[in-house]
Amino acid sequence: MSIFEAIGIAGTGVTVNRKWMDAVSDNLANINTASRTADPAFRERFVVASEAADGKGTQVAGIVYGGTEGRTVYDPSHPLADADGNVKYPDIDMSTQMTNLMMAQRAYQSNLSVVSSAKEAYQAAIQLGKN
Amino acid sequence: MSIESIAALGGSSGTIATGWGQALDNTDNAQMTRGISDTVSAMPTAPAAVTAAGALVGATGTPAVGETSGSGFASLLAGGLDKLQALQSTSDGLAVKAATGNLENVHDYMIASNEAQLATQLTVAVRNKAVEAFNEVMRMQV
Repeated sequence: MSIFEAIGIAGTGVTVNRKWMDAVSDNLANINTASRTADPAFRERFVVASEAADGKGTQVAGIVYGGTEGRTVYDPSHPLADADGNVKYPDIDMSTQMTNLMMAQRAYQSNLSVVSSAKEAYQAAIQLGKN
Repeated sequence: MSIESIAALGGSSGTIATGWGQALDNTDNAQMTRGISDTVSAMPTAPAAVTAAGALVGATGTPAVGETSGSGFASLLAGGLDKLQALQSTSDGLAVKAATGNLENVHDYMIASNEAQLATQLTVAVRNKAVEAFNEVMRMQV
């Protein structure tokens, strides 16, 4: 990875954005996951990115979880409703998730553009040696 | 070793998820096999030609400079071949993972195979240049 450094660095960016998309996908998949008011709600996932430990590229420093409070919704017909007819839904905003998804997707694509541009550049350099 | 894993990939891509297998079949087999057949033909000849060229440079009257730059180039090329081998085996390992469905990141394999392809092209270019230089010296009138 030392000769073609640019490709390796862009690869770390692709990995981080892939994990961000995974987190968004997890949040969206659980947006309608109801729970009892006494139980914790689904916790929103946040990906924390940081500079890579070796200084080349980026990495996922960790996953931070949102609160367990959720939002209480009055729905007496729900099988999980408590005595007052309330259930708990995770406090996830769909428009925020969709925006995050777009940012993650664009960042993923831009890192892949770096990979293909770097590849073209390296190939042009190798072409010098062929003539 | 490289060719085995490619064969494994081609053979078992039918068993993994449809989109996945398709993409691998279309994009990578052709590139990888092309890269590898280049390497296979290039690898055995390169070190011999280079040591010959190095020895020749050393013998033609610039002893000190010829000696050091000759051995330097040979070790540089040996190091380059080792790196190529490492990149190829990384790519092979990921190819097997892709074929068995254990690949975590699709791009990891694509990036590794691209790096292996570039390293192969670079090695072949350097080898061709070295052989060309050797032939040029051999054609010299004395």
